[in-house]
Amino acid sequence: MINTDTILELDGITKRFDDVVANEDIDLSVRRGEVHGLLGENGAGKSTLMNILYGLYSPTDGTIRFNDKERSFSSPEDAIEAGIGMVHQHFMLIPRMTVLENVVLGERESPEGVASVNGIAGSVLGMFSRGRETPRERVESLAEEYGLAVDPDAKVWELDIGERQRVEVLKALYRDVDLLILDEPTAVLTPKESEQMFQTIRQLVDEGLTVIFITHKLWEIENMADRVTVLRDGRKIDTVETESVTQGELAEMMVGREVLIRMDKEPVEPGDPVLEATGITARDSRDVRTLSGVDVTVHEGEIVGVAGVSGNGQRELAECLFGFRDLENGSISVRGEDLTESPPKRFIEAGVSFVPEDRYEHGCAPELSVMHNSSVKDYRNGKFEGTAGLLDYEKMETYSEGLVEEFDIRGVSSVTETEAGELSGGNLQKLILGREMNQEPNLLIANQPTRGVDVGAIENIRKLMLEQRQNGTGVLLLSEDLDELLDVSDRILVIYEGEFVHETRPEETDKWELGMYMSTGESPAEENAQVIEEIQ
Amino acid sequence: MNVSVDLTSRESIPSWLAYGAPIFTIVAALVVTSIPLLWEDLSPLDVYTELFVGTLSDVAGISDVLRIALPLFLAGLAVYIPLKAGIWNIGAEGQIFVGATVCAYIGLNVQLPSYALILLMMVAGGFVAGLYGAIPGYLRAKHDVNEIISSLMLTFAATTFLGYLLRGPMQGSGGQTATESLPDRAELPTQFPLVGEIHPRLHVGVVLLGIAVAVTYILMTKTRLGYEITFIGANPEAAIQAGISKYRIYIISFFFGGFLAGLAGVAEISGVYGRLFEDFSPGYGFTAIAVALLGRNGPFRVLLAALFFGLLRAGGTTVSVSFQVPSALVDIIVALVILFLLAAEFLKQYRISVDLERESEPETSPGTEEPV
Repeated sequence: MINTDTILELDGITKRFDDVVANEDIDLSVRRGEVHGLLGENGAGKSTLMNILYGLYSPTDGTIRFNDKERSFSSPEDAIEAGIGMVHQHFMLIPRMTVLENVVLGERESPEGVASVNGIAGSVLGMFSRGRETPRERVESLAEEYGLAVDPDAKVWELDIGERQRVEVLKALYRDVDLLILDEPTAVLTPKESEQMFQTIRQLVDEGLTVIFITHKLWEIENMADRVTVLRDGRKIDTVETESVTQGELAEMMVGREVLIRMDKEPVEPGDPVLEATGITARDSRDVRTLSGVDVTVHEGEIVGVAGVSGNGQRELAECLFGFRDLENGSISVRGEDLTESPPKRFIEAGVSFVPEDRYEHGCAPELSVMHNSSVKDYRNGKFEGTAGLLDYEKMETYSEGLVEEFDIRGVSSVTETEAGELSGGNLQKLILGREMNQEPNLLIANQPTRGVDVGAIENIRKLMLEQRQNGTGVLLLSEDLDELLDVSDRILVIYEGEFVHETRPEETDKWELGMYMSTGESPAEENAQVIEEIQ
Repeated sequence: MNVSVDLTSRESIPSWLAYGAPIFTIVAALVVTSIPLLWEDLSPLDVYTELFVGTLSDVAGISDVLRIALPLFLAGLAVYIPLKAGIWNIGAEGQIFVGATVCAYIGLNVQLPSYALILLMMVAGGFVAGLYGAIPGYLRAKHDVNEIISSLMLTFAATTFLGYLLRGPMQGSGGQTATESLPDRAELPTQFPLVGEIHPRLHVGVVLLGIAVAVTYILMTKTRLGYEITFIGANPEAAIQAGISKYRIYIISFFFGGFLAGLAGVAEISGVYGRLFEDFSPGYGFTAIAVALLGRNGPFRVLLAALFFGLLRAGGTTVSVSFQVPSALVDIIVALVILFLLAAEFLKQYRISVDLERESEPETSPGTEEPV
């Protein structure tokens, strides 16, 4: 053991992906034996920073000091060798193999190099191995020491999520790490499993390990972390002792207080409901239930904002309301027409437009031309009707050029030659929004429409949404940007773990309160009320 | 010394590579093929001259090229259309067999005037082969069954079933595993309207080369269906969100493919052999995969690729006769072209850098790398 207080010191870490800055000049110092929380919204740069530390990315700039030595890790192997382990959000286990096999997989410093040989051969060879523990004994003793109860001979696919996570932790411990990074360990766990996970973490720290704990849930920080570092937009905001801050202050640090882009919002009298959805229950692609009985109603000329930390069911909600994801339960009607279990085509015909969260994966076909992508909602409605019922590509081209012009989409040299994937994120988003809004929809569902878009484009996009509202379109806006929600919405719903926990109006709430609901699912506690007053 | 080979995905494909790849492929294949030719004490130059120039310098040679290109082209389109929708039809061979079987059955059993009979053979042969082809499309769309495997397996089912038919219900007299010869009225004539006979081995079915290329071109670039196929092929997720049914497109594109491959079977039986026997297709349905890959940029390219493979096969026969070399040599050339083609496709997408003597690393056991 090296006797210093600081186990890890990051100095001026910067990471750029082309022109996107994911981390900018981040300093981070972690004390030996502490649980250090890393807090921030999605996209704040937490995972990038930890992937740099774990050798998955190399930093554009900055230095890493670990155990008093300057280090640069070119692979996770290097990082593990130095004593840094990481448990990813998505498990890296091989389901067909047993727990023991998974734990020792890839390990080469084993008794006579035969650790991965199981069964008779393994135990025979193990007997001649100069008294060292066999992998099995070692795994069992580690499991016991840290209270990580799991059957070493069980196949991984038989285990539940919580157990798999313990296997991941065992895998790291088996490699004698000093520092363990947990990337949102509770994101996939049930509350009970989370509680077990916390106990494990406490035990790890008691045994002398240091833990970095990534999360965006405030109460987890409060419960678990000794100190917390808050990141926002790729920058470090501060590192503080957890005891000295309230959840409110943390929320403030996490969400920030930027200058609002004020929008002139004309009053619009909401009309009849365009969307009525009740009891929406659905599972995500990993078959975890992420929506449990959600009701939403959107009226004509009304913008309903949905606030929430990413991963609380927004994606599934948006996809359900568009017919793209199967409902487990519930019903959806648009302007009185029952569309439960209908395919997206029926929704489009009913006048529903959709802006997906992931514009490259779901919003466009990146290898096809701008023309193809701008006309995909119109090719079948007769707009490009040519002779003998054929598609008139010239009309399509003209329309596409008009769209590019109208929505100020830059970087298009020729609508038939430029591929959608060559556009920047913001311009692609304008293309998608333009395409969707030209449908003159009755209902517009927009999931994170301004994420990753530059300020100018953000303003444009918000204006467009307000224009739609003026025209009597109902808008369901799912966003993590609270300024945006407060700015354009008529009504705000807060989603937390697949349920709406709060409904309010922009003039009756503020970012701080929304932030609290988003990250705790509960109303702000008494003690924090004072802080609000102080802030205001 | 450590040699490490790194593959990195290319961000963009340089245009010289995109356009030049097919040509480099062919040239490289021919260069490598020179080795067995030299082994046989032949001048590669002479052989290639005979193969390409010789074949194309008389009517018989050109007729052979066109006759052989026809099934290759139709089956090539059978691979090409589903490929545009992002799925692989490896079962064109089986669809050819189904088309051929239906064709022979109708030709032998239905009494109709010649034109009506031939039309019926084509429509029915194509249709049944289309349905047969649609099975993997349906399984893929509905149950996510890998279409590569199911279409290939259905090929074996089709060829084996044909084997049964030729030894049972459809066996002709004389004890061979073949049907009776088709009546004359069921055979595609060699008399072209207006032009007359060009060559006794060239049947009127070759006009399908022109018809199929035009129909496919219009389908892919002028119709809604073609637009949908293109979109599904480019990004199924986005296409579904735009209201396009993957289910429908997978089935339809496989049906179209099967239809065209079925037509190829009809053309072979009715136009070339005049009866159905077991090995009438020298693997056209498999060569078709290479044809479709070479021509993946459009139906005209597919046609060019089919003509090229037709030329190889037709010329190969001439070469093996006039130079006394085994005809297997032609198969070697074809195989090499396919092999080089696959390599070229790979190189188009990845950049390879070979690095000698990288910093020596401790021996690693497989699996050490953390999956990322």
